[in-house]
Amino acid sequence: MMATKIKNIAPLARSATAPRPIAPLAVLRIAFGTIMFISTIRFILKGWIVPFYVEPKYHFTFYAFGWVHPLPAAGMYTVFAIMALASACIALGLYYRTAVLTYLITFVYVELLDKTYYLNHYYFVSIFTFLLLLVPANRYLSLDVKRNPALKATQVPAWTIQIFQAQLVLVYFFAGLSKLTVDWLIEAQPLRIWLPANTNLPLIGTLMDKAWVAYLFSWFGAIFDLTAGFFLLYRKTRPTAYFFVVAFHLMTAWLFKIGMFPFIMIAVTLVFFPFKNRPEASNLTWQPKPKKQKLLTYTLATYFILQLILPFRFLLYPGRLFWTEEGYRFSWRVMLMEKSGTCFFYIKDPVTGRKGEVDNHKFLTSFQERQMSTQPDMILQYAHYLKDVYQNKEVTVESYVTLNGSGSRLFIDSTIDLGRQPYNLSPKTWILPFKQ
Amino acid sequence: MRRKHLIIFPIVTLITASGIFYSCSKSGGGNNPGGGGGNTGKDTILTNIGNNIILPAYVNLSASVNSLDSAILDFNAGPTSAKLTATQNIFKTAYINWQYASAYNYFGPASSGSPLLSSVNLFPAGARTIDSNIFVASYNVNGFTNVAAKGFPAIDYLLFGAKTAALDSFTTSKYAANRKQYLATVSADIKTTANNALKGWQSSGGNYINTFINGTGNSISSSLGLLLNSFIQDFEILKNYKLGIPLAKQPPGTTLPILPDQVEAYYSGISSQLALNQLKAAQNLYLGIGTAGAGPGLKDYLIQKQTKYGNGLLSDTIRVNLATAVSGMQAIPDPFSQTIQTNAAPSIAVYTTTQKLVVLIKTDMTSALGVLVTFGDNDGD
Repeated sequence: MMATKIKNIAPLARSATAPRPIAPLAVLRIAFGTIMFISTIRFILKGWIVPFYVEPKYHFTFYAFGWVHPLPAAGMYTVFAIMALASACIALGLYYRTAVLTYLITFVYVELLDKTYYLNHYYFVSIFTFLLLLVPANRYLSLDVKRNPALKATQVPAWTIQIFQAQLVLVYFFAGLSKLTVDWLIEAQPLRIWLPANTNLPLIGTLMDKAWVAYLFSWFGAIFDLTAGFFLLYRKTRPTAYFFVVAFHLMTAWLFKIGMFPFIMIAVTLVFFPFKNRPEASNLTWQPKPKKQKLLTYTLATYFILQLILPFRFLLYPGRLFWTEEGYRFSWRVMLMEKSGTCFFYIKDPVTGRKGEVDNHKFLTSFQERQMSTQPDMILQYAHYLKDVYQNKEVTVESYVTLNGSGSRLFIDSTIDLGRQPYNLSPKTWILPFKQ
Repeated sequence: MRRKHLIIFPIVTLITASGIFYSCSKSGGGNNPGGGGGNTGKDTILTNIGNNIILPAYVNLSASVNSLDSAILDFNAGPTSAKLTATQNIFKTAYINWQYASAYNYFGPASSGSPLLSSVNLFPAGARTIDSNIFVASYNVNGFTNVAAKGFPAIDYLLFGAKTAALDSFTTSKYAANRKQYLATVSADIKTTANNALKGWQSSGGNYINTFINGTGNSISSSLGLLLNSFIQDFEILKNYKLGIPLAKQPPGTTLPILPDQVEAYYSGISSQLALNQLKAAQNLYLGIGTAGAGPGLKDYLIQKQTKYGNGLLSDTIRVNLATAVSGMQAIPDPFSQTIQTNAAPSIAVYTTTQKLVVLIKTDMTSALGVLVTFGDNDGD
């Protein structure tokens, strides 16, 4: 058994190590570095650093990352300046390894500060940067080669390109898989809520409040996501698939407020194209150092196994995923929910029996409050914070949430003292079931 | 040949989607029964809210703070008890007019000037700060330390807060001249700030009314997004500060259970009336009622959508709860600070209704309209 399995892996290993022109990798580096540079500058210019990371009194850190704290304003600006510089260096291929590592550290640091601002594409950028750390994308069309021509390579093992393609296939496929729900396909939700808000657009505006348009968009979106990655892999379908990638993402950029994500995807999917090198006198093939080969194999194997498992971890939790959001993040679930909530937190003095309602604005920004109101783990984190502020009094919450137009209903058991509930990854028994 | 595979993309999508759509549309869930295309509907709502509700609210506020300022100058020139009473009455009118404008203070011209228009109603008044300002006669009412020593709460304290004869504090008191000066300074500040906001809205000035009416869409920077955010923020002030804190609805701490002196307009004792007028203003905005009568209001966005809530419609649920809050508040006599000490239950009932309204407006309404109420990007596809 074992032997045949290994035999089956052999051709795969051969195709992964077969030499390929390095050009696609260099194109990816330049495209990714440029788009991330623009993205960082945009974030700074939008003036988001201070309201997101400096002004809030409390931050919703990720589980097990409670020790990550923001810096004062000057420090946060410095971090973003370093990030901008690092992304520029990635694009130019200058001090590549250092630049990628610096970008990875600063970017991940900022993302870990507060889950209020979590976006799937920030997660995407983080893991994509990690993959860039493993490949010699600076050995062609770069300032590093200009500085030190000995670095130059014209051929790389195919895996250095395939890992990015594989990651993108996973992103699209999982995004498509997550759309195979009753809400998305049968009810055309949440697009039926979101699209009509675009009736003011020129040309297509008048179509936006038609139900058939919402169905068309929902179905097209699901089929596109499920198949795009695979169509991009095959030579024959690639150009058409890329045309759809560009059209689809530009459409979403136009209709929804989703920031840089469409442009990032348009840029990085270029890695599917087998760009040719310029005519060269000689072939210089890059190979990882033999010592590092084993480590690389294990790292990549672990990485992709994790990528395959993470989106399915929601199966470990009871209840409806969109309602409980247990195992929701890091799974390429995007634009699936129109979810909104309001939370009234109560502090009760067990001795006097006096009960009062917390003014959330005293502790949270409206952005934080809004994100917290619909996500049980954040509700719990905030309850623990309130327990500290009000010195160990009872903390309960009366929260109302509406999901994809369901109408607001009670979300959390309002009798439970959340201050006494542990913050961990086990199922949260105090989330009330979603009743249709 | 090659390209033909991919034509499957749109074709399969179209066929399946239209199949699903037709089978679903039969089983209910029909949309847009209001007819007449969403596009035009939206503009008429914004036009009515802008021209018939918001602009007149600032016109009235501006007119009444201007006459308050004239009355104060006249009173200061020769304080008499008749002039004091007249000034007090004009003040009450201005404070009531404020309630009709405050929901629009967190966007557009009212939020872009310095000081912000919302800064002229930060209650309760800082009586001690006001007294010490009058004593030293050197202050900047827009300074950081004076946030509670300016605006309507300060005038409320100055005109109604005297422990003995009110007129004496402006005539025979040792600090009469300083007090008159302080009153004039605070009033001038309100006047300037309110007039600037009005100018910003008027077509003859900053013409924000034009921006507002044409700011369609649902983003945070669309008129609907800005309006709803501002309205919710103001409504939460009603719930938390005008009702919640005085009713001891805030978390237990070292403070006393009921905090009657934390109400809006503690000294003039018109807190109930002010809260009632803010609720009426909210109701008018929702129903579309303004100086020129009834037109389309916020409710019409929901009616267009036919959003369900429970067994009925969300538009009806909000209308009914607003009416309950208004009639509940009508039954609560002034001075509110005393009523809540003798009979708190009716006020608590209004508080509970405002809580319900916060959920309905902040959660159900914004969600039904797909309106963004926060900055930043959303998760993309």
